[in-house]
Amino acid sequence: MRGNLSQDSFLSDDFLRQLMSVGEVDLLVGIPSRNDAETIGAVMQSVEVGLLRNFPRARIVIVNVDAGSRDGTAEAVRKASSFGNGNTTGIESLRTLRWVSTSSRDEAAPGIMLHTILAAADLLHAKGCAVVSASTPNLTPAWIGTLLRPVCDDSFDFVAPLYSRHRYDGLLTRNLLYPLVRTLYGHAIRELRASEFAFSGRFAAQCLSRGEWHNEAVQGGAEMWMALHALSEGYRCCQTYLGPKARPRLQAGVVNVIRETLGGLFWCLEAAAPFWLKQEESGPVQTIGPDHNLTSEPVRIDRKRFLEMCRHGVAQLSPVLTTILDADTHAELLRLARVPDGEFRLSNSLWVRVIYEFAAAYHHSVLNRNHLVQAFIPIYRGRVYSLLAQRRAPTPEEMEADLEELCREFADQKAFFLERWKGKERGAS
Amino acid sequence: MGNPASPDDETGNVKLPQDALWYKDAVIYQLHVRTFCDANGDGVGDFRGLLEKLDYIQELGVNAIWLLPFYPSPLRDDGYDISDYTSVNPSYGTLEEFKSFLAAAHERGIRVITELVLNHTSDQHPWFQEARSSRDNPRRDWYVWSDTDEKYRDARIIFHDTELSNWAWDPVSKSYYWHRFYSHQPDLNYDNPSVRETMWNVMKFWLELGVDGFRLDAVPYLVEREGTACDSLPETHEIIRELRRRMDENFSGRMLLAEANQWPEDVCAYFGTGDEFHMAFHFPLMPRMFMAVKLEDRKPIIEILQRAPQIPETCQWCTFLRNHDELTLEMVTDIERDYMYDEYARDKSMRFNHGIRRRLAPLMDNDRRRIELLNGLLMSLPGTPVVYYGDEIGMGDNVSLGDRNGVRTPMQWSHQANGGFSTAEAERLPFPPVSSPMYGYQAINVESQRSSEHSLLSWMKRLIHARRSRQVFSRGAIEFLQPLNHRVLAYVRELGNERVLVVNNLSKTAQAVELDLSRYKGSIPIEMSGKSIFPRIGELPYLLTLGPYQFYWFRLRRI
Repeated sequence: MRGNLSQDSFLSDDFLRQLMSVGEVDLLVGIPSRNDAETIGAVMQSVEVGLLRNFPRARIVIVNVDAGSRDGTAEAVRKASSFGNGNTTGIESLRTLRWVSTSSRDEAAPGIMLHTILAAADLLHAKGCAVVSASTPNLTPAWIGTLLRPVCDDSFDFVAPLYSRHRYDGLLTRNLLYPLVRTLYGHAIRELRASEFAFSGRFAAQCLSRGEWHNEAVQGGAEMWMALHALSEGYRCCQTYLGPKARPRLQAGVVNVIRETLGGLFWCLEAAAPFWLKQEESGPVQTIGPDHNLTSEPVRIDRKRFLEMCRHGVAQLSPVLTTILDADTHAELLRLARVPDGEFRLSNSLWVRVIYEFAAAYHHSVLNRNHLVQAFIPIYRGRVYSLLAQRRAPTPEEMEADLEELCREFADQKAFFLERWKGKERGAS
Repeated sequence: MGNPASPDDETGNVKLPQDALWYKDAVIYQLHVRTFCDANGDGVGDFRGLLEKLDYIQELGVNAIWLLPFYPSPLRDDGYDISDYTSVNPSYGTLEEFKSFLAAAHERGIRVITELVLNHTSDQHPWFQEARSSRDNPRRDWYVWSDTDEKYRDARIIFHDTELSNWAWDPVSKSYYWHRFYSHQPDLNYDNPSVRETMWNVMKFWLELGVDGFRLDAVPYLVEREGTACDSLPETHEIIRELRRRMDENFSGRMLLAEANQWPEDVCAYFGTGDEFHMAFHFPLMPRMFMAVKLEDRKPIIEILQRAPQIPETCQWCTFLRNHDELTLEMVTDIERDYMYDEYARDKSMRFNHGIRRRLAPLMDNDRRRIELLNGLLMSLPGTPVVYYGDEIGMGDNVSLGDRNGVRTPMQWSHQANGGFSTAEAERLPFPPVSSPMYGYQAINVESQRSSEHSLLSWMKRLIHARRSRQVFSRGAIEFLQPLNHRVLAYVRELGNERVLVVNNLSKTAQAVELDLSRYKGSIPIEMSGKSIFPRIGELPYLLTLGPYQFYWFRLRRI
């Protein structure tokens, strides 16, 4: 159930009172949580240690925003922090360590939690902010310094993470988000839907002043919106390597992930069109720190099931797909859905074309946008199957090469996409 | 305010009110005769000049004076290198003039505390001259000698800016002698009973004259033992207990104050079971008051005060902001020391030994509000406060004078030549008065501040008066409140039915704070400086707002 943002102030009196008692800070770390009792204690400890080790003189506050947890998360937070005045680390601290916490009775969208963190950062005049996930079991104190140093020392406004991911983890990011944004926005940020990132206080204030927080598309993917907003508004962005990305304990279903990601992405494309329509070249975002292997060992995935669901979905949604896709593209998908398992390959060329046609259809609102986004899901599943079948055990170098090839395909078809976006008839050459 | 002295007793001394615990209620004014007031125009302060200024000191509201060493000395360590323990440096006057000053102070209800440098003498002292003359001299064993400089390796060097070793080579007797401070200050050997007896006689000499107490300088270092840090050894405590016992047996109402720059739990040993020192300086608290204001966080103050163990009922901490030495940073951690240096002594010439040689006003950037806040803390936290001469008018310093002389410049009485300290030519003064545009005597002096109700001097008088008006400050317990707002330091002082709530804003911005005063529900806070009535305490958290660096003292009255 999504929270209601239509009231005058979404900050509770108690939260405001806590912020009042904290006063101005130099650094703020926000920890959104939802049913994270198992992991939040360790995360809090790592955050405290990271802040004390890296910024021993800074005025710091750690803000936990909980979205209606029912597993004792709030209790775990209190225990871990000696609530309000804690230093549970044993590391010498010049100043009082401050924790504040707020929670909503209902399950709040991630966007509402991030909005609350931004509000706290703004009210406390934080110069640097970081957000970390309460469910990242391998979060280390070093991550805090790695995220915040570019903001504090080098005046970056947005710091995205780089992770080592399991080979077939983050496929949506690698196959859609990253190459599409790189092509259109002209900047390559690898992780656009990260659960750990950092930003400057001035960027937080700017984000807070926007009206997008009330939009459902942003609420579901607020961190992506922030990253794209930073790129399109000319804020200084960089990325920095954190470490392995542990797979979340509870993984969101593909349907929800696609809905939030694609819906949010297409919405952002709409909003930032004046910016990316002018971008002609693509360049890398500055990466801080040494190179690291960005892929690690694979996890087991049930490939066959993905293919079954792809075939089923493409067939079922054919009438909808007709509205969205060019006739040729649709026909190719239907053909592909009928080939034997061993021959099923959703090529880069087809994949990119489908994405661009979906994005243009979203822009032209050819049908209900939520339905449009959901129609993408079976095609994504087919893509996942293709990737898994294509190489049994690709090396990290091979995966990076594949990614570059995909990016080239996005770039090659960009002109086609721009034409479709600007309103040329479907199917016309 | 203060009880008047009673007529002379049978010894000819003016008899002060008999209160064995007078030191708990004292507000002490620390000064150096040499730089306070010169009456005879030779450029050096003297006892006649000090006597002339006793009215001023009384007006300030203090009831005790602590005099830095005034004994004959070559003055290579500003008098802490003593060459005669039972006389007065001729530059400062005569013994008779000292007695006159003492009597006049007592007449005004002001007690006098003098220095007793037990640990070492000047190398010009006749004792040392004799001791070094020959290995067979009867006084040889009055000092600590060795043929090598290898002994007591674990003892740290205290004046590490200037000394490379705790041993110095004596070319006369061709051996090494032990010195924990400057090499011209050889340590006395307290393993020698003659030394102990002689030093008791020194104490007795001054006690018989009527001196009310002694600050015992460098007391942890009296005894050396191989394989130890030569610091606070059991034998040292035994010596102190012996001196205390003899003093108590023969002279009532006198006080011993320890200079032991150590962590609170280690200083506590110097109280013994109430049979050693009456008072000891709380060295670790002092830098933390400065730290708290810079950090805008009460944490350093609360942590250090909560760290100190309970002390005997008859004992008292002695608190201070600044003194004649550097603002010592020995009793802080490395991180804290670095922070203090960066915040208060960015110019490295301000750093000396392990400390900062600056006065209170310059440390506070001459910010009147911060100066008041620090003094407010000094006067309201537990302990007997010491005000360093000149800080009551916001005197500045002169780092270029070297050593710690920059904080020992002549008292600034007026805008006239030499700041009214002396009629002598400026070149004859031990140190020139401060003459910078901000802190110079033309701008900062007693005369101009006396005539203004709003001056720092006038404010200090009111503050000291408020402090002395309530025994709850000098003898009461303390309970820290811990409001969520860490920029606010709040506590309740309590003695019997008397309660005072003290609330301090440590920050440069206005603050709101909610205090849990439910324990005092029904009490009416009366702000002490203006006597204004504040809303009665109820069940809900008590909301207060404070301006930058503002503080309140509230009497909690039940009517």
